[in-house]
Amino acid sequence: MSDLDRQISLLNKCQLIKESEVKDLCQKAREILIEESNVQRVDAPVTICGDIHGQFFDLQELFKVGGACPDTNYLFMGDFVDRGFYSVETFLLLLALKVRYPDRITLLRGNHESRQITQVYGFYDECLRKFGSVNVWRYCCEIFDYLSLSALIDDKVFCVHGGLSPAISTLDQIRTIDRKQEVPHDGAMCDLLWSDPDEIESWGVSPRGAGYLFGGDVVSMFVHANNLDLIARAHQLVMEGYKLMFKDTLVTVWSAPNYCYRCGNVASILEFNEHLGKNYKIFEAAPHENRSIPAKTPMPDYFL
Amino acid sequence: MTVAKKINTSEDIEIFKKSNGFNDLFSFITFINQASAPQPVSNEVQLILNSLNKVKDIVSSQELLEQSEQRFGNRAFREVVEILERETNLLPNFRDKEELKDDLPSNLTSLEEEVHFYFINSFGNKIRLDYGSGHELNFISCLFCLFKLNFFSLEDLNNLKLEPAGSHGVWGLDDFQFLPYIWGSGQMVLKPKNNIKPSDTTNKALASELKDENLYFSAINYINETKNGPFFEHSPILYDISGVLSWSKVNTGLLKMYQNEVLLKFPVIQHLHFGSLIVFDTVSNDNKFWENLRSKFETLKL
Repeated sequence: MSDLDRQISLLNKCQLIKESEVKDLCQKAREILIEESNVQRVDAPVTICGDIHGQFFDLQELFKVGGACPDTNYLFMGDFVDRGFYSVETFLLLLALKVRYPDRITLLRGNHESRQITQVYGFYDECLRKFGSVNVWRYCCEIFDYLSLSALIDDKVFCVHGGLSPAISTLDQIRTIDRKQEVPHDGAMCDLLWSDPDEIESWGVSPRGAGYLFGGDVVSMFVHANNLDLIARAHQLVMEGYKLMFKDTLVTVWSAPNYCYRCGNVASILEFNEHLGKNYKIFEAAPHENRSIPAKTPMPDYFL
Repeated sequence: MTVAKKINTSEDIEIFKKSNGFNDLFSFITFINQASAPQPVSNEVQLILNSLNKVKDIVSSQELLEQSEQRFGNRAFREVVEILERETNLLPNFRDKEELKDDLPSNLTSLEEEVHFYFINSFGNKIRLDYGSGHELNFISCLFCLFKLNFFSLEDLNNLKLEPAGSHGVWGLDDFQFLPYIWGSGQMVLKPKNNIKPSDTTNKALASELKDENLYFSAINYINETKNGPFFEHSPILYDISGVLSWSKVNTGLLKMYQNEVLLKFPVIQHLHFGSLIVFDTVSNDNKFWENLRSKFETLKL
């Protein structure tokens, strides 16, 4: 068994690999990701997935429903980390699968794959606690900068984490972005990862403080200009797992069931067959019996 | 506006650390911590509870907008805050208080505006539709201002039982609040109960049983009621703290943690506004105020 296969089998059991192995893995992943386009070409059949947010056991549930990688070709639209308990295990498993089966899994960048956001929403704290140093966080953040910004399935389905940008009207404009950097506070790259569709005309101010709200007319123009059938994105909780808008020209796919342990939502994945026929699969949170309970380690700075 | 934002860079935290505002807020919190033994509700505390009930009524009379159209928070909350902003009579009126009548500050109206500002910011952010320890801090700021204006008597401090009411994901202490854990563990130190230990916090039935008498268990029970999943996963910090051996270690640890993770954390404290009641400047000698209070408080206890 190769090192990589051994690491995948460990991670599949929700066990951590060593810090030095994380470093190696990120090194290998970078060589693959650096070759990918900002609008990565993907061939159908493919199954697309939305936010995961460190919900490792629910990701395993997703693989049960959608089939194992590499048997199923997957496209994940970002937000692997933050909020949940198992962001490290989740991201490293997906990254290891990417290195092992580069043509069978595509990983896009979400707004949470960022140094700044992960310091506020948990991934930083998690790395520090699970590894005793922030090196793993640092390696992962370096790899975040290489993740592609969007994907195009059979020239017809445009996939992106957040949505559209007033600075972007064609896919070629996305291709010219220099993406190998921290997610900026504004501009095209930021908008692709932060924006949300809304029932408004043209553009609006986003309550998130980054990106924009965009209306059906904006989507219609973008779809026409780029000869698309559909825009698929994630980024927003949908209680029913997915939501179509603007006469079915845009879909939100959400893959974190019972988000943050309290939202009570179901999750979904969207399967495209070789003719781009769509099939949504709904799934619920994984049962939580039989998970190994860690020892109690009160923070020494405060409680010793 | 009579209050203003002062902390704009992380360097300003160092200035804040030496300010009267910081000293007052942290002293106020530790003061309540030593005083959180349940007492009968005084008139003044009842008036604050009435104010909170008014807010509760405004919230429940507000029709929720269709949730499927919402991202996470319901936008009806925005309207709630806008009503609160217009309602200037939410807080009890100083002018009605007999004991204060001869002794009201000349700039009372502007001081009231300051207090009102902290009060309406206690319930969450109307743009981001979120609630966290920063809003909780605004409520404490409001109470502190009322205290500074002599609205509460010393006895009332014994009695600031709050109604059980960001975020590092599961790696924060609690999604919303911090102070109930401090004061609830303080209650356990002051009034130990039936051998209940920190390790009992993972006992769901016990949390439900104790929710009305202890703030710590009330907060834990709220988590148990709203979250579904293993406790160690959705609340790993509280799970770890349940391994601390004594309530007094939990209490002092949480106070230190509150100082570092809330009062001195830039993302949280940058939003706090300062005015003439919560002061950003450093004025010497203010410690006398707290020293006097402590000695008076000790005699009161006897």
